[in-house]
Amino acid sequence: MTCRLNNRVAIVTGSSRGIGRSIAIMFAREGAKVCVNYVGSEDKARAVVNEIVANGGEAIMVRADVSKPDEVKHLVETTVNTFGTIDILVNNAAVMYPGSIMDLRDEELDRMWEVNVKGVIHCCREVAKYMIEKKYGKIINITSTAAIGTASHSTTLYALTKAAVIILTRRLAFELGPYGINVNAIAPSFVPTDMFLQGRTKEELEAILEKRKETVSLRKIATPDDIARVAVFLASDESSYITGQVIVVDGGRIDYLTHSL
Amino acid sequence: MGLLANYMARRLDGKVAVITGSSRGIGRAIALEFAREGAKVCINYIKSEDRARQVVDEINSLGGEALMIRADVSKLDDVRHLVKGVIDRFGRIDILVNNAAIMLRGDFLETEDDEFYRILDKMWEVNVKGVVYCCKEVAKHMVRNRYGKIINIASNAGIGTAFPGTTPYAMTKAAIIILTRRLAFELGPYGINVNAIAPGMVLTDMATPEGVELAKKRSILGRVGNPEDIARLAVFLASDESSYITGQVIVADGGRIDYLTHSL
Repeated sequence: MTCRLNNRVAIVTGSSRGIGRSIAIMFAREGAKVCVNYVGSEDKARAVVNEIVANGGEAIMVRADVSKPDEVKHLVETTVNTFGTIDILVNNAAVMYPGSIMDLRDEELDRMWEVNVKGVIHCCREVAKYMIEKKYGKIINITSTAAIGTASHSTTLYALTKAAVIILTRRLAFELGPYGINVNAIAPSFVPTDMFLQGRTKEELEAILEKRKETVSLRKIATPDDIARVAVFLASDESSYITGQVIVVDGGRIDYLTHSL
Repeated sequence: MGLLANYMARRLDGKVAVITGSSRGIGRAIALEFAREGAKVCINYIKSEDRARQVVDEINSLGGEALMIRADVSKLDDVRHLVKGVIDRFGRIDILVNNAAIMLRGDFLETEDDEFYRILDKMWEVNVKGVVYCCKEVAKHMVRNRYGKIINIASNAGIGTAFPGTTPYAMTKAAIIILTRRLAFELGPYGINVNAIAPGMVLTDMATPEGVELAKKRSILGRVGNPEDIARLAVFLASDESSYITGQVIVADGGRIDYLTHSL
């Protein structure tokens, strides 16, 4: 049985931890050469690279803040110089500042816009140059069910940035489709990662998770691997007829806000 | 090593799947792909006995296991016979693909009234009630096993494409979309995932040459689908790779540019 991403070259932004880390490791397991991107967590990025290499895979790590076009250029050029090409881009890097619309500071909103929206645009633009030339590419944007409208507090402006990523996904599918590039998004809902686990006691965590389960049809909480497996599918040629789509991976949440259609 | 063993395992190893309308077209491609991934498969057909047998033979020659059962999904007794046949042979059902459907063209103004209502009723029986029957019969077994994957083949027509002559068909497929969401909600607590695939134009007996040309022009990727495009997506939804996805409708249409206006 051949690996599903044999010899593909992938950049996964924000892949030193959480969902990005899972995607990077699973891509490598499926035969892809992976660029692990990080900003602050150098040690964690190195741990991901080491894990990939220990399992017989190939990976590099490149520090880059996706909100800065120069750094993104460096990220993509380094990947292409190392592995010769780029086939897959996963726009996973994002920041979330919780707070109501009354509380959130302008700087926090700006930062979310810079990273979550402009960061994705920078990466898409830079990578698309190579993909257009080779008439092949897979772009996967990690958005959020928040963008579709979940009834969760303190995430309204985060949701706004993720909604922008949804329309970007559809429009880029339209712009890049003629060049053989598929552009899709994954909309996870609540996935407990390091950020969520930190600073909470075991009892607190269990109480939160139990409450969360009640809003999920499947009555279970997602793991980063649940998202990574969907990313593998979208990165592989199994999904070559799928483009411009947003795949919701939320276990069947029952708390969406009213909407038409 | 355990990890490697897992990894090398086929994606549907040991699962039992029923695919309605699987003697040809998309259903056939799904049955073959499922068998290739290690599933035991029930081929369902109504009239095309020879073709159903060919699919079974092809699966057997690949070293897989398959049986064929004749059943009209629009008849509850037939569906009960189908499900019983699978349980008797394989002991359980893990995966149900509701693929059987008919497409009868009808133009709202030009088609004669009697004809229009005839095709509407006929498609309601097969495309909608057929799916309800299969889900209800199979769910009884899945609920007991606390495990199941139901995949409904809807259509991007059900979302609203600007394709002439398919309004009644689109109505039946829209019904499948809401059935998918509601069943995900009803069956989720029992470990059953319910999702739908909404293909665009796919090269099967159902497709007309004019339709294919039109769909090609209106697709971002510049091509129409193959049955295998849909089958690969069905494998993903039938496998545990998608275990946190439920209630979703996955559009596989090459990025069509002729969707009718809608909110959201």
